[in-house]
Amino acid sequence: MHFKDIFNAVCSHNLYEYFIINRDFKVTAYSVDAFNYCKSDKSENDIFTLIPELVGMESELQELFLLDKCKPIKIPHIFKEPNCYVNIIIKSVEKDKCHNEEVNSLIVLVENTTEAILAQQKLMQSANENSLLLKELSDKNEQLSKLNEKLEKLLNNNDNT
Amino acid sequence: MIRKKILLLGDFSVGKTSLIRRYIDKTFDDSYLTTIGVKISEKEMNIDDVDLKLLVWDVEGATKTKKIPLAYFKGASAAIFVADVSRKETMDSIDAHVETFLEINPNSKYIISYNKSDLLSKEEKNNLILPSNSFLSSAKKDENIEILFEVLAQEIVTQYKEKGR
Repeated sequence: MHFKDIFNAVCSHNLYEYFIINRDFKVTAYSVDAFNYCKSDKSENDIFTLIPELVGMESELQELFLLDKCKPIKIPHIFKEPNCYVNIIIKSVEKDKCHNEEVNSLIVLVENTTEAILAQQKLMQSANENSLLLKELSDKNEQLSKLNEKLEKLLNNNDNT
Repeated sequence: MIRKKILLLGDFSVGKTSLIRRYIDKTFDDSYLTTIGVKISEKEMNIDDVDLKLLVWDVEGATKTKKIPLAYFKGASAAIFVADVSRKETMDSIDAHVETFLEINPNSKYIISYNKSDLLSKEEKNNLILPSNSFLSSAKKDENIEILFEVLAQEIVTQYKEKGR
């Protein structure tokens, strides 16, 4: 079975979409709903316009074309309009390492993680709010202690006089 | 048109998202909503006859238990480090954020925003000593927001012209 068929089967669950790009960073293939994550339409084939999160990473992407540098790049938890989160994973499409065939394509995988991230967001929100509240409480306590000290001194002074 | 990536970095709840919303949408919302992951906004400008598209990364705030994924730092041309002037610990942690950023992007530019200046009295503002590459800002009062991005954009364009990339 061709890898594209396998991918399209996986992608049918709407959790994964993909773009295949060549050495010029132009899209040569994509899954059915991949463009749902892009502002541009299907006439656009520049991956940096379609996935602006990759801007600045040209040299890292170039490295993925080298046979000995095949470690994928993962950019996690990217917010996409209107309300979803994705991981972007870029990996070289290896042909046959044994025959030293050149890598001529990269796969840009878009993984939908909205459900997990929204749950995490709720937890982080309350954790951060609690942390801010604790800090405020501790500051107020400190202020109160200082006031108490001042009051005590004043009372002592009054007693002495 | 050249495209450049800039990051907003700092502790949680220092106002990174508010700075971006004020700069890009000209809006401000007082309620606090934790940013998870990263959200990218775009801003086009022309500086010294160079068309520049800034890709502004609103990166989740760092906490004691949650570090920022280093993948976010890669390929950034510049960064704005944000601290909350009413929370000393957020100002103290700026150096650590800068160090991590420069380890990955040694030639990149950066600037520091001491945000929420509206929470300071006039006297407190006058007594605050800031480093040279920093601004006292307020997203709420729209103070020094444009200049933060403009100064950084100018530095990016100057570097681009010098290096021709």
